[in-house]
Amino acid sequence: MRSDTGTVRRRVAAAAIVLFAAGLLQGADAFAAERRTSAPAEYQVKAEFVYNFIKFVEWPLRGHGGNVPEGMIRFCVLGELPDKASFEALDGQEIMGKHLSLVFLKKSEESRVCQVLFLSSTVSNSLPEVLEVLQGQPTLTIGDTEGYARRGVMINMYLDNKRVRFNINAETAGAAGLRISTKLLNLAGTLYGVSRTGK
Amino acid sequence: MRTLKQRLILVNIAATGAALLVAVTLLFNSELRTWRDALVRDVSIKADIIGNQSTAALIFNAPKEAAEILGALRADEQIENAALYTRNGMLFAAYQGTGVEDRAPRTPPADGHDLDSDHLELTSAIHLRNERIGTITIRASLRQFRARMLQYVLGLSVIVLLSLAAASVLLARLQRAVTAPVNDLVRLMGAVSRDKDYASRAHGAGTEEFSALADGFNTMLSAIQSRDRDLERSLVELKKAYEKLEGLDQLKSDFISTVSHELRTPITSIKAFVELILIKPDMQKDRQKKLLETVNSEADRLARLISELLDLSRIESGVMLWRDEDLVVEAIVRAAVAGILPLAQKKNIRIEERVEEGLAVVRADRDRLVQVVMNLLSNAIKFMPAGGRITVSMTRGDSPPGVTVSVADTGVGIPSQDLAMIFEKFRRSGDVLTSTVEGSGLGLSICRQIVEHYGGRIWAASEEGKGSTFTFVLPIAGSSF
Repeated sequence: MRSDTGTVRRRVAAAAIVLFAAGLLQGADAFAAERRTSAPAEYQVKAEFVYNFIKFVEWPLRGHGGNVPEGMIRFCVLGELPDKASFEALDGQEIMGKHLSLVFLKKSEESRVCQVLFLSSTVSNSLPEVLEVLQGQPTLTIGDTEGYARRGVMINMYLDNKRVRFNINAETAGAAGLRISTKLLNLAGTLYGVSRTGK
Repeated sequence: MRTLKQRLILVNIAATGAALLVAVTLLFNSELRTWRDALVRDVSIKADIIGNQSTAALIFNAPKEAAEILGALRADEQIENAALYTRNGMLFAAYQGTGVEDRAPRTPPADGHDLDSDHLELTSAIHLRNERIGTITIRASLRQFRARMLQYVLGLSVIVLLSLAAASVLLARLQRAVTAPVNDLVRLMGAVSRDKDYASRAHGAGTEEFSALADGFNTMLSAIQSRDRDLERSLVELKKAYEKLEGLDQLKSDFISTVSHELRTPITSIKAFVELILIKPDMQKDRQKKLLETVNSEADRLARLISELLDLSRIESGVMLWRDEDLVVEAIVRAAVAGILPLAQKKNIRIEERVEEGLAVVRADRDRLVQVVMNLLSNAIKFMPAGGRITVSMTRGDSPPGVTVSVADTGVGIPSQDLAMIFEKFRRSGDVLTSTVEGSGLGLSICRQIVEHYGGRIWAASEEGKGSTFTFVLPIAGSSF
């Protein structure tokens, strides 16, 4: 029951967010058009990166005990974001014939149903527990906090001379049963646990 | 003018060359197309691979990594430059081969490939998950391609030249099969026109046409040859006929002059004696009688001459009537001797007969045979001094079976140069006009005509001063010489 009311509440919230985001996007579009020549905002780039990471990752066929609906990729965010709107713009985006469904998590335990989980810097302290919860789960973990990749987050973005770059922890990805494309691995600034990637 | 051989070789080389050229051109075109397609496919595959490798770099804005991936094209030295463009058509990363001056264009060309004489420029889209995320352009030099093409053309040229050379060598040998019969024929024709040797023949060999040609030529030659032979034969016959006619003409003139002379001599004396009697009616009876006897004898001579002429003419013109019967030669000779006896006794000439036993019977006209023997006897008496002897021998002729009659005298004999002609008309031994011996000169001629009519032979043998022998042979009935 609780989960039902939670779901309903979340849906209402999601709808509100979508409406809000739509309005925001229109404004953002105009805004973006105005400054197209200058570099886009940092989180806008990061959101796009996250969106694109998904294209280079393969999930195992039978993941999440089948409790992820067909045609949907659940993209969860844990922790506070400096620019929530950039991520919210991803909600409902189509990717490989599936729709991205954005969910802001309150608790780390909820992360088990996510295929993609963004961990903000605010969860840095509870990171081991979160990763513990995800143990054995095919969930792509993404972060943008220094040291995350080394600590077990699969893809961790960072700024290098105002350009967004990323490190990859292939070990944890491999342990989770995820396959990250070598094309992506080749672009990684630092690659952790490369010897144990692959099979 | 070209010879048949040259023309044959030329025609064949032209045909072979044309066929080779067509084949080589087709081959080259197909090969060129294959190579071009292969090149385009090769570059297109490279573009796909590089594009696929670059998807992450494009998406995650990593130009340096993209340039590294493009750098893999270094392995193919045909590729001069290459470039990756973002979805928005901005130059994202570029590759430039070493020693290449041209840079990749700033903006992406249209998708597809563009092949000019020097370069292949291929542009294709880069997709990620069915979404176009950029463009790749590769520009490849056709230098290697063209070098290969040139090499191929050179190879083909060498093959064509070698083939033509081989064809020429072969043709120089094989053309003989065609030209040899023609040349033979031409040579033969030359020889025939030069030497007029129409006996030569062409040997038709090789193809049907040449055989027909040779046959036709041979037929022509045969026709010419046979006509030639006919002409020659006709010419010889004509010449012979002409000579015969000429001889006959001469003979006729001689005959007429001789006959005239022979006829005139008795008439002259008859006329002279008769005139003498008419002028002198008072002539003594004795003298008159003697003159009339001479006139009578001359008239006899004239009558004999005319009858002999008639006989000869009858025999020669074939109107003589031959009353043939089986005759015993002995009886014939006896009759003849009896007939001539008064003349012989006048000159005191003895006539002996010798008869061999078992003489065959001959079939002939009795009067004619008697005439022959009498002629021979009177001839012998005429040309003999008084007191001579004549021997008539009758013997068997064995091969072929027949009867031989010979009349041998002891007279003056006949010079050997005259022996051959004494059987001709008006020929007598010695000069006719100066001869003291009377006679028409037709007797032996008539004898020969009669003997030859019965298939026999007559000839004379003589020794001057010792006498002559005239012999004739008659075949017995049923055999002939």
